[in-house]
Amino acid sequence: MSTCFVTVGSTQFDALIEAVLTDEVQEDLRSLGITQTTLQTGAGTAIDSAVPEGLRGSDNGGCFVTKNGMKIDFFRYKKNIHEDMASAKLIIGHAGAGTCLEAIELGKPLIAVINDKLMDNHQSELADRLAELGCLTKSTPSDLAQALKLPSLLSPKPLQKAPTNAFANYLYDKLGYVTS
Amino acid sequence: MFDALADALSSSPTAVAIIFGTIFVFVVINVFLTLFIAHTMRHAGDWPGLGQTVTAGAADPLRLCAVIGSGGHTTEMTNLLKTLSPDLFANRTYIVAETDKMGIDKVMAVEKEIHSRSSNPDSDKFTVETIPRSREVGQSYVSSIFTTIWASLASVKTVWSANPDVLLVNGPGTCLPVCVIAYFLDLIRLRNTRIVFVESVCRVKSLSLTGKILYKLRLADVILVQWKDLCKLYPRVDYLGVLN
Repeated sequence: MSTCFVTVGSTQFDALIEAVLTDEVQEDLRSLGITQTTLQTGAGTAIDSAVPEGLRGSDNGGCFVTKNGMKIDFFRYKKNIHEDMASAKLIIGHAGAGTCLEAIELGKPLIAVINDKLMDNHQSELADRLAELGCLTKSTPSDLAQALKLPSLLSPKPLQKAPTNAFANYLYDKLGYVTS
Repeated sequence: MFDALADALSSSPTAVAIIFGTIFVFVVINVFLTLFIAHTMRHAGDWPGLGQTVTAGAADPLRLCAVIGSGGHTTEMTNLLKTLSPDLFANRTYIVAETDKMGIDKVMAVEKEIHSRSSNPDSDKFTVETIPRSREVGQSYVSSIFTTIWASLASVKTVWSANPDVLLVNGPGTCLPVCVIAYFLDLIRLRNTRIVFVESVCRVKSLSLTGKILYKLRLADVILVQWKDLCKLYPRVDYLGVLN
């Protein structure tokens, strides 16, 4: 079963949740072979209107199936979302540095959705650069459907990093030590 | 002629105060200028390593002090700490902001990993110190001046007893008072500390406020950035690539 994991981080980002739950985006996800969408909704309330009556208002999240056959799994917060990211086929997330770098580390395709309603979002500086390098796909809530149709979406480039010991060796050198 | 001058001075205590006040101010300026020049020369020259080899037991151990920031800064800091030799940095102190509850857990996780890599069974010794926070997220800039001064005073004892050879910081504001104190104690020759600042990977096009202050005031011996664009804007920074 292929999963799409959606995460909004520690704040609320209802525009992203709403965008993911639109029919067009759900259709695009299905055509990518995705049958389950897991949503981390944070403090937002956008999920409530999509949830069937019985599950509404539950703070522990829940699970339901939409009319076009997508299984939706949702929760507000979790101590560690690493497992969810690692098992997902595609990640759609807010453009936070932690989420971006973790997805790239895992080699997972990520759509970093910029919260264009937030003023002075300096976090997006990193997302912009990573998008330029082809490590992730950048989008806004309204452009999400277009981003899902990009051919490059599922093949992100790895991020070129300094060698593991670059910092340690640099520091030893600066301190006048010799590394053997 | 001198008698006349002495008479004039004795009849005017204000003139005496001005003359001695001026001399005092000049002496203070001179002392600090000398200290500053001496500091610059000492830090431009040899670092304490003196060509020793970094292997277990081959080099004199150093005292490392790392300031644990918050959130993403902590993650970046722990990634840096994991790559350092626990045998060379045998004496480690972590400074955590008082309000940061996650900080100590993160330190424990790093220490566990560091210890597992060391050949020395005594490598599990470390200290965790807490200091008041200089600026809470959202606090106004004016009030943060006062809280920064308070945080600085409270940090003096911490930095003094940690006595670091290397102070490793990566922001946010919590690390500034610690840097100022470490720099000042080094300036007056009571401590000998190299300050290493690593800018966050998030800063692609400009240094963070902490980075700018450390850069402009030349408080840090070394500033590392993770994107090449910053080297053009700030010629005195170093670049190694995106660090793990």
